Amino acid sequence: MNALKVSARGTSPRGASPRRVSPWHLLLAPLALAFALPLVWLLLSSVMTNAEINRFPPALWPDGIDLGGYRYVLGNAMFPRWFANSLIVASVAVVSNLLLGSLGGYAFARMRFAGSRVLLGLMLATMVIPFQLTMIPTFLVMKWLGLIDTLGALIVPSLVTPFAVFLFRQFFLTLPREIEEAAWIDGCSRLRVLFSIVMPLARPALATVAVLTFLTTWNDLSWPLIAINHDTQYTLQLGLTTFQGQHHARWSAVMAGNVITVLPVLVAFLLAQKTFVQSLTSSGLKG
Amino acid sequence: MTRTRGVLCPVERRGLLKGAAAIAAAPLLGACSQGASDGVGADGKVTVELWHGQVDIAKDAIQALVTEFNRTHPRIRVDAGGGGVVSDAMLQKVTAALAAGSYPDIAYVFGSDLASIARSPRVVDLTDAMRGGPTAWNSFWAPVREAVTVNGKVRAAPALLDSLAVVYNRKLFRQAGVPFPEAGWTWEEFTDTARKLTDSGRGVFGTGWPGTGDEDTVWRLWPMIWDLGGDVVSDDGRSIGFAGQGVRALDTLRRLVEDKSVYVDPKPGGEQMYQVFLGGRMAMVATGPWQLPDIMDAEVDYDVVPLPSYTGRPVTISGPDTWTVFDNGSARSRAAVEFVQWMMRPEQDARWDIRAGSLPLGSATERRPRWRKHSQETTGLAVFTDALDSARVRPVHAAYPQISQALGEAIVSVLLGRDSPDKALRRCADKADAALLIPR
Repeated sequence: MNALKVSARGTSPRGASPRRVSPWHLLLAPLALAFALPLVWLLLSSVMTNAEINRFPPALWPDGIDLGGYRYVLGNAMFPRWFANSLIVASVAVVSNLLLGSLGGYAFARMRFAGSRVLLGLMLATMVIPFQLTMIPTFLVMKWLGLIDTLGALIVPSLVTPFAVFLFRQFFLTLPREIEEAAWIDGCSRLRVLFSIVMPLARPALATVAVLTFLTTWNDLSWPLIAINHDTQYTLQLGLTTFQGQHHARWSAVMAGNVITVLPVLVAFLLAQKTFVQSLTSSGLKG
Repeated sequence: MTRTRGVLCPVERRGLLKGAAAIAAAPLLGACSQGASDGVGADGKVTVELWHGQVDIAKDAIQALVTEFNRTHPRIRVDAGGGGVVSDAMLQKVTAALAAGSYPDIAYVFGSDLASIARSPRVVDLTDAMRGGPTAWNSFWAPVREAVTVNGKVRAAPALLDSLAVVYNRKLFRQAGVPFPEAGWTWEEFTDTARKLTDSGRGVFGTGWPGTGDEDTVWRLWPMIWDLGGDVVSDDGRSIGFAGQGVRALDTLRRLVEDKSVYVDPKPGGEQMYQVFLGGRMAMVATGPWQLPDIMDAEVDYDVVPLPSYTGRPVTISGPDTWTVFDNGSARSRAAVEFVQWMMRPEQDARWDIRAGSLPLGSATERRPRWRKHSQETTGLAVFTDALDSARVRPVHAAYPQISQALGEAIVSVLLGRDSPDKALRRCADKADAALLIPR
């Protein structure tokens, strides 16, 4: 077996010279700014009054800092609860997807069993079925389980997704078997190999699954809309809809609420950014 | 090197199975905490689930009324959780709930959505309850009665009523030296007035029109079509009933576009359009009574005039919303009917209308001192109420959503100058006629 040096670090080793400006930056910087503009507008609007937001022609810069929107949102007695609900649903979904997704992915990557390819194909096929088609059957299952109008109805369908299993499988396939074989020779069991040897190398995949699962569950509106009936069980996204009525919308509150809602997503991404990018650009191995 | 690939040792398998069992059992434990209830408690109290979809002031008004009902009706408890949905998404939620067999006892359903919902056998027939109810059926305005009647049967209880009229900014009229509009004015006068009041230099528009293609874009055109003798569906029910009239109505929009006197609002709900009006940059806007509180808050010097017409005859549109009752067993249905009957009584209706910014459901409410006082204190409110005499409603037809969508696209294409009225309506007719041919 070749001695392999395994590295989960990025491609910029410490002590490297600072990045030089390349002509690409002239194209990429304005492009990045264009992508950031909606967020900037969201942030600016959140400190505007309703009148300023709806002014015609639109005000691009606030006349002053008005925190009325934030006061309205944070003054809503249910808002902390909605935040906690979203956090519970997203956190449980992330943890369960990392655990169950990695187990499934490892099985498909490393184990041969009767019908494994067919099973993988069937599982992947479910990824192309639109949610609208599975909404009613999912609702029926949740109803049968007695979970409708509870956070369980939001958590259970998200416990593990085909996408997480598939992403882990693809990543595990890039790892050399020799590492695992060495561990088996040393007497490690399958699960021990997975959790002690493979998982530490799979940090980019873990980060990717974690970020994408968090984003999906945190931002989901359509399923909570169907499964939840009482405001004590609302997630943030569902709660934010109540700031917009049939004829009136408190835009300052909507914007402020969105700023508060988007913060955890930004934090989650920034924390996992390095490994997230790695997962897209490297296999985590140096030969 | 020997190994048994893909085979777990017994200990590992047991552990895995235990873990899987624990995960599988978790939801079942949740299931145990919720018993299947028919809504009648051990104490004989019936619980009724209400999905009202209201927010903000209207939600507070509903909550207050529900609290009072629960206090005065000890054998019924209305659970006004709201349904986890705003009224705009109620059709989607109720449709899913009906398909899954887990629906509320009462839902706040838009009048234009009633036909879609009423196809369900779970919708309670309220014909006897409404016509023999505590409030005389004939005391409700005709549009109210029409809006909840499908094939001669009352399929829902009226919940809220409005109508369209033109609110205008008196200050802008004075500045432009244009006389105030009066009842009986024509669409030609309307377009001329809009042109005179448009001042591109100051960023002032004569009028506005929602440009998203949704129902808010569409329903403003129906009074024009009705006035010209057209209808949503032809008498034989096989095609649209506004082929010629629609072209003429769209031509009025085309004139506004050519004159650059119409602000086309890209935001759903006409939010931006109303803000332009509130900001003193729009002279006239067709709207309902719900907008008056905001107009007064913005201290706009305003007044209200009935919609213009082509013929000189008064005509407007009303969009009543409904309390639709679903069958969850006889005890709950009876309790739900009792609640909606109570809500429709003049004393409750007046309180709800004043808070929600809507109109009285009938003459009995309109005569109440509380409403009269409110009407006197609110400039122009009486114009909306009086317009109910000439108001019509969209037909409760299962194909209406498709017809509306097709007409919405036609209106937007004219507003954006992409199509002529004739071409836009031909395309609309093709789509809408195809929808009408589908057996329902």
